[in-house]
Amino acid sequence: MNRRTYITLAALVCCLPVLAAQNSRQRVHAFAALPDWTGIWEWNQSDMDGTGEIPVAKMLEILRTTELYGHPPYNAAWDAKYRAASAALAAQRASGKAIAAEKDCMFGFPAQMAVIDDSFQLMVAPEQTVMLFERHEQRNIYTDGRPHPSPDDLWPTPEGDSIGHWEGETLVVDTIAREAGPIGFLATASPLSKHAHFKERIRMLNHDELEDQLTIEDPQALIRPWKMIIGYRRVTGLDRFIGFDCTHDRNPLVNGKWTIAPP
Amino acid sequence: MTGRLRTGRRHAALGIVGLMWALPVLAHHSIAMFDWNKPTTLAGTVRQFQWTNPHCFVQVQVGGGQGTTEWSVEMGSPSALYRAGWRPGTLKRGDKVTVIVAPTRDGTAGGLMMSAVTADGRRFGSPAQAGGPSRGAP
Repeated sequence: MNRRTYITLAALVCCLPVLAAQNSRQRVHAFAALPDWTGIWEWNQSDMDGTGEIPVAKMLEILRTTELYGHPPYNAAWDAKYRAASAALAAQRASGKAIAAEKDCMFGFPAQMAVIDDSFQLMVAPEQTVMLFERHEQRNIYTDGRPHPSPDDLWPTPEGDSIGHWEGETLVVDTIAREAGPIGFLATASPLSKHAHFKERIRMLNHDELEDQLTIEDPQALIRPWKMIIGYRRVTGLDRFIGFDCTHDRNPLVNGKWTIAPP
Repeated sequence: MTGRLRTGRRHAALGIVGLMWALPVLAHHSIAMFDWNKPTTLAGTVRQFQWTNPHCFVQVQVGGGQGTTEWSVEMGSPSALYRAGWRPGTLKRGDKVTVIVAPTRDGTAGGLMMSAVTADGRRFGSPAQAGGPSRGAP
């Protein structure tokens, strides 16, 4: 090792702590500029009773009033398919036969944003905001300035690809590449195409409330942007994040009907 | 007065059941398998409290001797129950418990819990849903 190498190494050793400190300070400042959404949240319609279930009357009210599970503003062709699918589902229900698609352990986007009795954890960092859902699903909303991946580096997923940026304390999110298909098993007759484009403006209303202004555009299926507001509140009564899975599912479909399996 | 209130609730429940067949479902699976028009009271003994996903269950033994029937009482998820104040140790084997369930439509000994009273007097769920036929009630 020659003298020049020794000097270079010495300079690096001297400078590294300074650079690290600068990076650390910048990162502290970057975090400090972000709103603190840390915590566990739930859809503000999750009015469970003391048995961990939603009273039936409340459930029906939610179904009637939740835009996401209502009638999408389809164009004529998709509307015809929607009405036919809805009629077929209603007929199947009326026959007493269960609908297999009306059961799932995963939701995907956007249904995961409006789920009764499930919670999600929010973690906001300068580079991304992460939503961790009870059902072990997650959304990564990258806020480091990156664009969506190029078309040849992008494939459809249940969550799609989300990028975002901050406008003041509002997180502006853009999501594409969501798998084509039903909005979720909560709305099996309401599909979106692979061209669906989701725009969100998420902001904190107060310490205990968040709001997501969601606009869905789908040039293949919708006649106009479909707008809705989904509200959230902080979860009380949880001292840890408790996951959900279907490991011990006791509700099999037997002869076309949901049942309770013996213990 | 009480009778009129109960009748009103019954009519409301009938309307709800009709709507439920026409609407999509929420949560983990359809609740159309349960008959909300026949809230049934079970007074029995806990054989097992399953603190499991996706649903917790209480196995309640109702009656005695040869006539004992074990009911599988379905509840929400551990996360949902925890928020409502339940813990894995809330019910233990041998505990006396009174629960009101929406029974399964297929007549098997199972149902969805609507409310519960534990042996030490803790109450969970909506008391407004009490009523209907009883099994094993004192």
